[in-house]
Amino acid sequence: MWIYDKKLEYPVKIKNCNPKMAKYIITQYGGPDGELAASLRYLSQRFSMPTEEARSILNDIGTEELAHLEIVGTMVHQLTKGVPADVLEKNGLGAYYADHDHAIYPISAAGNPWTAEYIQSKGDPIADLYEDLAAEQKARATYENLINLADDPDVIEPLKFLRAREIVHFQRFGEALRIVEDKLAQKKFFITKPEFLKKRE
Amino acid sequence: MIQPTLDICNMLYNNPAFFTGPKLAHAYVPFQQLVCVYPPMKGLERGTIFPELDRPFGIDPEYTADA
Repeated sequence: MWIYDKKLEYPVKIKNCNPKMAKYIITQYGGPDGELAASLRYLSQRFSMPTEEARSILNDIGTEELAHLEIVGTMVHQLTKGVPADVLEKNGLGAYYADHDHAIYPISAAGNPWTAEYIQSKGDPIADLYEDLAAEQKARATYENLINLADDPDVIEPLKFLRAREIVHFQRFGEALRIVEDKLAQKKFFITKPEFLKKRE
Repeated sequence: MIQPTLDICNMLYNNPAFFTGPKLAHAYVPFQQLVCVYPPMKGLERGTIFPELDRPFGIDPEYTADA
């Protein structure tokens, strides 16, 4: 169950269209280290986590990644809004326009459509959490590359915000990993004999 | 809540005695302790309310452009 707030987590108000930048930024919508992959990765992995803390962290961060997905979608939309087909074509978006017009579709910067192959849900909480830590670093690196490609403060400010969130998420996943590893390392012992063992005697 | 006027926010994490007993074949992130938080509007602007997690790109030496 979710509750939707009809506003962006961070405001996006891009005054000048820039289809070339849109072609790069869309990779954080539907690319290998993008927000769609992040949200579905965490929201899928949460079911097999062994502690309530780990389930909650994955649930909360997966939810926030959906909020980031709509920020990135909004950025791509504003960067291409009203741009004529010939200008899109000159900026490398001719093939995108042919299939999707001015719509938002989850692809990478190179044009590869989103695929579940970008994510894993392993059933092993240690393996999953290490993947999540790596995913946050890959997303941070991608946002830094996008900031290097951008020259408009209207574009750079939301990118900086999204990048900063990756660092906070890394910290939370690191804490979840400690909690899960400690739990798995605990020796199981019983203060009293449990009911299910008594019945078998 | 304490406002981050001094460098007390990072004191805890710069103390080598804080974290002991790492095991081989494990990666560790220390637990964050609640020390200082930014006011809400500054938190929105920075992308975090925690000064110790505020590591801006191009300014923080660990994250400089084209490192």
